[in-house]
Amino acid sequence: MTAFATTPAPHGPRARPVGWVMTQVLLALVPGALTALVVRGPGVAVNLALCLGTAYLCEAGALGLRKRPLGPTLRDGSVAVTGVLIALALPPWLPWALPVLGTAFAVLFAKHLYGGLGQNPFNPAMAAYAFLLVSFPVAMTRWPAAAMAWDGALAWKAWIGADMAWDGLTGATPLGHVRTQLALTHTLSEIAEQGGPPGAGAGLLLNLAYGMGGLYLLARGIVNWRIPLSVLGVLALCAFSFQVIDADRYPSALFHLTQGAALLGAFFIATDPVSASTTPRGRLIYGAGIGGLVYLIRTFGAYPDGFAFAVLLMNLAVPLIDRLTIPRPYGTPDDA
Amino acid sequence: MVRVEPARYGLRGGLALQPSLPEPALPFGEAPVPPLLILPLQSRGGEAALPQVQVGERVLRGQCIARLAGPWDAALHASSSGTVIAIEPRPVALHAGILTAPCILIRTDGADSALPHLPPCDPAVMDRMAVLQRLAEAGVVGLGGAVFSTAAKLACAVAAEVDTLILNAAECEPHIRCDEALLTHQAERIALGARAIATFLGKPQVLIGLKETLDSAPLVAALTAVGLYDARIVQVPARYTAGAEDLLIRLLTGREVPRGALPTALGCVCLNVATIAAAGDALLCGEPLTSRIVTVSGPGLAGAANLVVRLGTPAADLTAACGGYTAQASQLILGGPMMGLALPDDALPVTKASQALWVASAAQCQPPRPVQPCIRCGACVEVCPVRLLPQQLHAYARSGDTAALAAHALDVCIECGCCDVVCPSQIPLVQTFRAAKTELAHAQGQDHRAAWLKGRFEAREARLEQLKIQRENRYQSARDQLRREDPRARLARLKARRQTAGTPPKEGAP
Repeated sequence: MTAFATTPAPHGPRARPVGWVMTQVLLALVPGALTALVVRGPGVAVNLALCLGTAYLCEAGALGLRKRPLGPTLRDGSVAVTGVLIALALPPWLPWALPVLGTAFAVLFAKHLYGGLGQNPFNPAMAAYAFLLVSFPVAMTRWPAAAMAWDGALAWKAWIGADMAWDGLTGATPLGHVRTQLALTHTLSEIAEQGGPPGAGAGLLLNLAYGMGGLYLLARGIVNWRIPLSVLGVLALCAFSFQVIDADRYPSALFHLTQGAALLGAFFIATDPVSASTTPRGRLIYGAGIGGLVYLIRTFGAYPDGFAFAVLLMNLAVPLIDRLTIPRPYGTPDDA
Repeated sequence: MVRVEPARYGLRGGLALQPSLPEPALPFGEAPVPPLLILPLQSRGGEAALPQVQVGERVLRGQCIARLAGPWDAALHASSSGTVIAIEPRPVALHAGILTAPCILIRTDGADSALPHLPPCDPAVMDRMAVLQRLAEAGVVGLGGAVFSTAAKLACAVAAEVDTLILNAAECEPHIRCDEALLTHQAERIALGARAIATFLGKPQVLIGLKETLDSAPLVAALTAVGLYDARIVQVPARYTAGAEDLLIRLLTGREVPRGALPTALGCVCLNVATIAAAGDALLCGEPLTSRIVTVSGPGLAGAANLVVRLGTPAADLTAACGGYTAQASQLILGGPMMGLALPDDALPVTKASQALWVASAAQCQPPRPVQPCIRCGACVEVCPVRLLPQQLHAYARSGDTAALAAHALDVCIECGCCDVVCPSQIPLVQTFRAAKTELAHAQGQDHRAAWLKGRFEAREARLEQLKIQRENRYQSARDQLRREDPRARLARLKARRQTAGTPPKEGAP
């Protein structure tokens, strides 16, 4: 008689663990992060270092306070994703306290106060972004001057301090620029005549890099297609509809999809599984809600980009969406 | 002409666990009769069968050695000739896990002498009662793993006047290829059984759900040979859970079996091809079920084969017949990797429920990783073939919220394990759901009992109230009568009573 080990079914290979999933997300962020480094200068690297460091410190501290084992949770990489997303969302050259404060808020308040990984109702990175934007509105909207950023080399020179008579230049983002110009009753064609919003090329490049990472996640089956598709689809649909109404006041769908946080948000932020809806129909609704809200905030709201608020608002709606979109189990009538 | 057509309806969720091209065929043969047969008296939950033989008694192949009391319960037969050496409790593999159940142990004599076959019981000439009785007597049960009595299933189908007979040849779990061997080498047994059962059911439509990677030619030829020209072979995807009864019915008919009901509610009865072949043997040849085909394979074995195995053969004899273990052998799985049972040792026997024996390597059976919190990634929702929300069910099961578990249709879960293997947090979902189902049934039982007790109490209160009203009415009518009575007559009556009160009461008086 030969004895064997017994384990409960199912047997055979298991899915890759959470740590692998998070590593893939980080990997998919690499093209975007590198592009950001080039077009926005070394400030991005500073942000990354500050956010990642704070994220790990706070995670370890919170786990210690909650008397949880450190190893498995620190290794799963979820906190690194939070840190990197905050760093990439923030403008470079912020006072160092801001990324630190924001990341600490994300990890301690948005994540661990609710019970840690898997329990947070709000996207921690977006909670941190919104927290910083509301608390430090001036600092948070001081992006490096778009023209300089597009030049890339200038941003680096400014950092080294070589041949520079000034510390740096700040300016509006392309979305902000268009918004301000439109508020000054300029038309889009006039803005285009002046060479378009400065930095639009950099925004496009950055969004393409994030889009590439997003496609990688889709291909690896880490991100489900429903949320990105509905976010981008509804955003494009809104933009297109309004453009048809008045092409001189409402920028095109392409502009909306390639500027601001569109692709970073659609692939990396809205798809945060913990705070998103989990039912198949619910995900479409959740994504559509984000896409619609982003357009509304960009076009009619007080901020040039509204991804953080759109995501947080839809996070609030998730319990209701989930409840209303429970799939019909096999063998039950339609009305049940 | 027997038609072969692709499935018109799709399968939701599930997993692609098998190669999409036909695999090289396994050698097919008969396993040697082992020196010792272990025949468990329990095959499903519920009562164990009663032995019909004594210790020390000589038995022949095909001799009934145990039976249950129910009219349609399947009997158990000796699978070779020999001597009963013991009737004792032994570990056996049941659906619920490894349990200890009484077993009949037969020391075989190598002669393999058989009882003469029973006379044929062709449904074309015999009445339905005789056919059902024969199926139960011959020990025919569902060989797809459920081991439910075929006589009971068909009795139910007759009562429901089904119009569709579905044969399950979807064989969706990897490493289980016993039906493939049957379809390749013994298709005529399937065809004969199908014709017999179709005749029994009054010529229903015959649908065969055949895995698309299997060759349909032998089956088409066999069906044509027996004259089942109207049978339709529907090719179903080689995808896991396509072979689950309720899901196969949707693949073939596009309709769903209502929650909590049987396929007969749709006018369907579904039998595995191995079951139908065994039914054919029992009806047309009078041969009881004493063997089944078992796929013996895996990297932990020197060889692999589809073997015709005597019921009660210990696993060790089958692995030996396939060349013995290799250094890689790390786990012995009875059944497939998704729903199979890991055996603690190879002394456990093959039963009517055993489709495969798979000796896995350590790389295939990784020890469970540490469980991490659910991140609500929804991978489980995507693969669930019955459209449940495993992540929600898991949360409710953990908090013991039985009302929410019932509302989210935990009872619909078929425990296929798809959610379990895709979970990045390594949560043992199937185990959780099994436990939760028991709890839910318990809670619902308690609710039921509470409702019953409440109903009883309320009925009693109402009855007492009713009695009180009746009493009141009686008193009232008596008072009314007294009031209406003539005072002189009343006086006379009272006087008469006083006189009788003085005398002792008559015998029998109240």
